[in-house]
Amino acid sequence: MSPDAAKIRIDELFRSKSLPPAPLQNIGPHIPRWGVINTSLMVPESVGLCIGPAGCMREPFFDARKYGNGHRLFLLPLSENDVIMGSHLPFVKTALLKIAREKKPRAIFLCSMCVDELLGTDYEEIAKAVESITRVPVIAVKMNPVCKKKNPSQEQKTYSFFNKYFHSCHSEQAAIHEPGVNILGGYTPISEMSELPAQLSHAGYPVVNQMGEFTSYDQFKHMAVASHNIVIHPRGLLLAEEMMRFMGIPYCFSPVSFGLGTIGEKYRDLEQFLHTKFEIDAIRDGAERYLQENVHYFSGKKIAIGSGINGSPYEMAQAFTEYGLDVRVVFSDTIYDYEWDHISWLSRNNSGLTVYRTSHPQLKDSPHEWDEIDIAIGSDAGHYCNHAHVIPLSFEVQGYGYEYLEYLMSEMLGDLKPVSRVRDDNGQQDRENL
Amino acid sequence: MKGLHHLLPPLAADYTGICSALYDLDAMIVLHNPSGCMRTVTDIDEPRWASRRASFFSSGLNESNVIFGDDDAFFGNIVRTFQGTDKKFIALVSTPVPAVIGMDMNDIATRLESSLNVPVFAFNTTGFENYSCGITEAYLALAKHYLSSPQEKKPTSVNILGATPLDTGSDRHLNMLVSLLEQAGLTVNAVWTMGSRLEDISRSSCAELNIVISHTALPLAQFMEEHFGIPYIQSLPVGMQPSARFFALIDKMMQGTVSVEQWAEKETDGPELPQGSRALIIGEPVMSYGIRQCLINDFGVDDVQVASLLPLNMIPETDRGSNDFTIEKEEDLENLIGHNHFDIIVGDPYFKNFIGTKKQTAFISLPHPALSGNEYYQSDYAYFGEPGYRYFYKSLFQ
Repeated sequence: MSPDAAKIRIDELFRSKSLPPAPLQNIGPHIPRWGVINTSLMVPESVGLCIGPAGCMREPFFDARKYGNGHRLFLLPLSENDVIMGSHLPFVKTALLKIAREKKPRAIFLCSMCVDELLGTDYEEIAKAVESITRVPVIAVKMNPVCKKKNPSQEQKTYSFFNKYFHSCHSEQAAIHEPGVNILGGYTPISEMSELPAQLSHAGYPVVNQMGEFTSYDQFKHMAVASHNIVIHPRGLLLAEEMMRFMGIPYCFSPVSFGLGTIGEKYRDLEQFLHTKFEIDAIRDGAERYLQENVHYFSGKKIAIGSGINGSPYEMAQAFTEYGLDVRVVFSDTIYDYEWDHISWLSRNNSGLTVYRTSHPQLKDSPHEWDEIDIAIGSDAGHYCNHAHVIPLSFEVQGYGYEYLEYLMSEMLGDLKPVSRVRDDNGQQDRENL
Repeated sequence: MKGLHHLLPPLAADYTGICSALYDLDAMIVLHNPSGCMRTVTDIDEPRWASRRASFFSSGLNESNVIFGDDDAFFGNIVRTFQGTDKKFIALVSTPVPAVIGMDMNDIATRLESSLNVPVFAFNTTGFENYSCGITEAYLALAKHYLSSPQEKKPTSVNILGATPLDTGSDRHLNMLVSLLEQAGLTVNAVWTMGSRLEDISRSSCAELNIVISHTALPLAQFMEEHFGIPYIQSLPVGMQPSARFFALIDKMMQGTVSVEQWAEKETDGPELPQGSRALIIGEPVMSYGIRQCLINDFGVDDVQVASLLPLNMIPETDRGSNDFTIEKEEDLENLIGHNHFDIIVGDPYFKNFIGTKKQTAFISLPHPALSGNEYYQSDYAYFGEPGYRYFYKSLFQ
């Protein structure tokens, strides 16, 4: 089957402002996910309780297990009759009390599913009731993909659940005043190789709080009293907006980027936001030099970029096109507002670029459509491009700035670079470190 | 299982059972659910997905569809996707959201069938029940639609009923069973439903005997006995002596046409366990009773208790032990293992968590993908015939 119905040229996409509709959805492991429960359990010393049909419980169980959070998750499968009659609420309360009593968590995330959303079950009341008895914060969160198409996105809404939590600890932490910066939007901390944390520290912000790096609940609470929020992925935008509204913490949206110009622009935004000046020129020069020395290895190589990357496939496509690389294909399912500028640029400068709707059913039956692609970035692009060298660049590897660009380039070089040359480069690097 | 879970996930859902039963049959399977929910099947429950993708799709159900009951759009989307494919039938599979709001798949199935001129099966699964209900329902739907009285029986042919990766594991185990049957001079006519094509399944009524290898297929076997006069046995040839008995039983039912000599010559060569040894088997009922026979007859275990993950009502009372039971809650298992000594526990690796520090208990790992998904699907284990005996021996004595 031809995937014609699933594709659109980039200039047509810019004109029509919408991806081809997918009549049915082809979803699978090629599209990476983190999940509501792993997002919630980023709060150290917390536990999660999922409630709903047994069939909906397996996904959070295996999600939590995958990222080492299985021991902090509880499940309460319900019967259909109980859900429809609303007679499950006492069971939920009993389960919460039992967990609070026996496990002594610092916080409990109570995660409900689509069926309760549609039936309008009020878990906020149960959360309050249990909280008043146990003195343990109980935060009601939702895993309701039936609302996926709504704006803000499900991913943004999930991430914003932290607002309830931060809000509750904001007043008790109010005495703490320190120029701390929260990094929002990531699932794991930014790599230690990245220049951003060091730049923030040199610029007078020694406290950099990142999701996924804390080991204690008390440390995590400090995020509620930070002075600034930096959002590196749009999934953190709703949380940042709510933290600004309810706690007065300003934010700057500075998404992960791969274009030298765009990265520079984002750093300038941050300088303005934080009223500081970064010492970034040498790092930028290094990245530029690295790019110039290696870009010729990609000559004649055809590239596909997927939505599974930890960043914007459109921004990356623009960056690569600027570097003279041959980007042929983008796989995408969602377009964030900020990506339209990149789509506009691509429609003028790489009009041959084709965009495929990642979840379109016709892609499944087109195994040879992308055989010409040499390098696929993102797990979904790798899934479809059978002969390509694949770089997943998933959210498990969080980078930022010029370092992330260099990291990506080195991963892309893979087998392209002769071994002796790699060895020479490493030797040079070692000498520089000495 | 009901109640609070911490160490175990719930068993795979009824809709997963439908998908698993139909996976190899060249169907277009549409799960009527929000798109993300399909991942439970593709990422966790269906181990074949990684190597061989079936036409599984999600309807991408959203809140607006639910509120406005957008059945026409659902119908149109299926028609558009189906056109241009060569799939042999369509399966519409319901999930918790359609179930709770009372959506009925049957009407859409009828419309699709007349519009596309292919069989369309509607499964009103709910996601509140486990996989076994789904597999049973899918088997019966296939049997009612595709089976008819055969013009003639195929001598010495048997069907294997109840094989899906959720209970059987990988096709390596199934191939072992097929090989044992062929060595005994039998022909495997169709396997419901792993590896066989829809054409093979359609010819199932030619077989002389049905072999039920998981409880999910008992209603199918009963249906085929009632409508086509095919007798059945419900048994698994686990280990040595139970395999000998298994083939002796088949030989008796097929009136002496089976070669059983090879089993008569084979004897277990290992040490038996000390007198008074006690074992616990946790798992699917038919498999558990197959293992029970192996532990008693091949290894001399005195007391074997079965803790079934599913109802035991399909197992004859004469086969059951007095302490056998169906696990209702995770804490039942915690209490059983916590308050009793077992020399051996057999079950999915997830059950190892219940043993804790009891070093004197030998654990025999037998993955059950309906519980642990694809996590241990490819791990090295066996249960059929002599390889099964060797695996158990190795787990107990080496």
